[in-house]
Amino acid sequence: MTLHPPEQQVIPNNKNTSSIIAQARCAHCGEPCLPNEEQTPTFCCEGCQTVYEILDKNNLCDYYSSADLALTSLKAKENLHFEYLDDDDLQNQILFFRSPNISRVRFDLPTIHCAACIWLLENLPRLHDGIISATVHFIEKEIHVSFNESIISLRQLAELLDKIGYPPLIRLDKAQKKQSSNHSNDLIYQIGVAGFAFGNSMLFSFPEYLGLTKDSDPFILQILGYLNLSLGIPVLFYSAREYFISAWKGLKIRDYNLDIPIVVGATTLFVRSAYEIISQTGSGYMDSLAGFLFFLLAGKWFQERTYKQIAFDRDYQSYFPIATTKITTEGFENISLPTLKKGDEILLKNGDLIPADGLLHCASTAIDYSFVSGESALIPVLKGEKVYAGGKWHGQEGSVLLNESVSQSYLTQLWNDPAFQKEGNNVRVQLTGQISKYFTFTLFAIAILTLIYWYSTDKSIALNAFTAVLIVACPCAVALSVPFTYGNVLRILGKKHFFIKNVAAVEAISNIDTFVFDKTGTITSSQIQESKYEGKPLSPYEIDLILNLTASSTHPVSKTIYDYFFKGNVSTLQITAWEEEIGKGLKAVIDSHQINIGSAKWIQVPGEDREKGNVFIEIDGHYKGYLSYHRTWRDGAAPFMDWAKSKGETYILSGDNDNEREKLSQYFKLPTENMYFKQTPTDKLAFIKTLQLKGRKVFMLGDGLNDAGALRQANFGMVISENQNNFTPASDAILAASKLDKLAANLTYAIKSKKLVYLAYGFALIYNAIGLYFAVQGTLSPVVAAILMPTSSITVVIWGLSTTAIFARKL
Amino acid sequence: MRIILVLIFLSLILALLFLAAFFWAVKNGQYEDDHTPSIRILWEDKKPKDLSQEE
Repeated sequence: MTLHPPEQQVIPNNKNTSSIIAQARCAHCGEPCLPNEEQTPTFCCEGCQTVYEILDKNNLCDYYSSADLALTSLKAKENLHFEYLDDDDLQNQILFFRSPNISRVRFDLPTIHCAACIWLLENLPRLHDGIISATVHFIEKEIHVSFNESIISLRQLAELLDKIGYPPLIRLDKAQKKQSSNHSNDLIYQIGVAGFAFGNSMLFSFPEYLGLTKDSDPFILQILGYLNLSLGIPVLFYSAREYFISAWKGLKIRDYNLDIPIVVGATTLFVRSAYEIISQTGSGYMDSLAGFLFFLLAGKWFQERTYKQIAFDRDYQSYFPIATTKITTEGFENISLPTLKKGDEILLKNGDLIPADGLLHCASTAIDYSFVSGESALIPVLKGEKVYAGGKWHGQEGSVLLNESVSQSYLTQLWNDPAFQKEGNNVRVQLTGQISKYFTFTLFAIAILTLIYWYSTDKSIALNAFTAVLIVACPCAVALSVPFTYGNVLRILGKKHFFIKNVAAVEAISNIDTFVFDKTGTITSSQIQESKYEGKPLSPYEIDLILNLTASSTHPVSKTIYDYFFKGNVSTLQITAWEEEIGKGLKAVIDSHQINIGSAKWIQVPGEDREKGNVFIEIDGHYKGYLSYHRTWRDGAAPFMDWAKSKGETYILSGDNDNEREKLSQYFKLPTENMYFKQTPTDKLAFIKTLQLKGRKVFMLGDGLNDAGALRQANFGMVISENQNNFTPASDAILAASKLDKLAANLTYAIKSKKLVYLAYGFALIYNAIGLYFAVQGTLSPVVAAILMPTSSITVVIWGLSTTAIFARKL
Repeated sequence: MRIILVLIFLSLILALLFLAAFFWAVKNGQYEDDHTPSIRILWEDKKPKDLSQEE
């Protein structure tokens, strides 16, 4: 560190005072930082320096040559602890392959963001001999590492990743679900088989359609018929399997879903075709069977292709750590969370998450409840006071005596509510449900009427006409309307950073008539604060003193002060006796000046300023002034609130006290009786339930874990997130905070898309009517079926994709 | 005219081979990550160890 004579600095004459105040950038992340004359690369913090040194040592500095590098500074890097990875049981749960020479593991690395990240991570073997290979999956932000446990332990591997700026996110629920990805491949195989059969059996049916008859060559026709039959078997028994299962389940609970007519249609098609081929009375409809199953499965795939990288179903388990350190009489022990009991004493370090409610057992600490409440201010806690699960430990190592188990804590008991027991992945769309009930009954009525009519007039045609009705009325196009229309809406909105969970959630939007908002972190911004300094004017030298004092603190208030005064450059000054006291402030001797910044408990503040300021500044015993800051409303919150009011009743629920009632009421022009304060997470859930009992369809907009219950209970629960990597509670949709101003337009678009689905149903029914016209007369030839069925499907698909894209232009 | 049957069987066998190739590609994980390989191909230097990883 260089020492500057204070005389030169106290009275600066102009803005470009001296050469010491220079622009310097961190060699790792590129942030402006304090210049350092001794070594050429400068760094903003120790974290960045560590990464640079590791890379430099291993000749990996190519990393920095990538053009689009937008690295994040490691200044705010949390101190993570991976001691628990030494536990053998946990290792077995996390590793998905284990042998003496090679083990494989998958880590979530939320900080992956650019091509250089992939390059660096896939070069991990160069950083450590024990690492055999590393493969990154960019979209899912994962890394697969093969390593030799006898050279590098799992814990060392995690620590290495953390050190180079990619802290692995290790969560128990994720580790347990590691095999789930194979499931979706079944659908792809089924589509493959159906597509293969579709193409080939169309080819085999051409000779017939083009006029090859039994008279010309019965042998060829017979061979082609049997080939078609053998292609139809895997289609019916393999590709259509899920439809049979779903239809059977539906029948058992008297839920007449659309899969029932699909299954009846497919079976009739197959049986009649097989009969015709074997008895040599006709060529069958195998190509139609394979074709319509191919389209149906493709629709299913289209609607299931959602955002893999965004998790909509996270609960507190995906957010809490896997294990914690328990203090026993013998020393420390790593213990997994579910086995923690009341009365256990646990050790917590800076950055750790408190896993269960308890009492503080050490002298004092500060806790950041931002994940629970959205409020980022630190709360000071003294020995014996209560701490709640979900809070983040801030400060020196300390201990907590638990008085609840993990699942019974104030926050986590929310997940015991029945709202969380309802089935997670229910993708059934109500609209299809209503349509299918009428459809199924009408279809069977027409089929039976046809049978009765022909039975009394011409018995030879009766069975033919009856089966033809079942075949042609197969609701293929109806079943495709929702997947392709809503599926495309989902995709288009996703491109605009509005991520909806599934097509059922898109439909839920159109029924909403009541809006409920959380306050902190949702309609108010959780970070951006408007700050203002009032008091005696500060000289640039004094500003440097303030910047030097606050630069090394990670407290959010210090950051606010730093950001307010920072104007692009700082000169490094000699700091001694730097001290931070929880709940009070910062003090230090800088360049032989005593400087204190903090609360009024610490600093002599004249009476009138006490009320106005949030944090006070004192230099050399002289009070200078105060900084006041408050949260700002999120951009777009007010226009959205206006839109919501035009659509239905609007409420605000807040966990805070009601001192902002008037301000909120004025700003959002909302009557004060529609605002509820001091709401606990359970209160919020209960409030939504009461609205729903009155028949309301509720839209809930929230952000933190404290809204989790309400979001889950609401008909459409939406989370607003400033950073996609951040934790978001389970919800139906996630919106990037910067896009709040577009939310009203996006919701209007989703509501409009319901009409497009109705129109698609209209098209599908017209095609069905044409088919029925032939079928009831008993004149449905295979060629008519082969043309009608794919055309109806394709029309609906094109309609769904194109109209949603056209309407999206206005967004 | 019956010679056409030979062609039909040949085409069916060819189509079955393509179906088998499709199954193999899915099983091999070629459709799991459709983004990272497009970035990986642009790196210049050869990596010290083979990074291909079979699932």
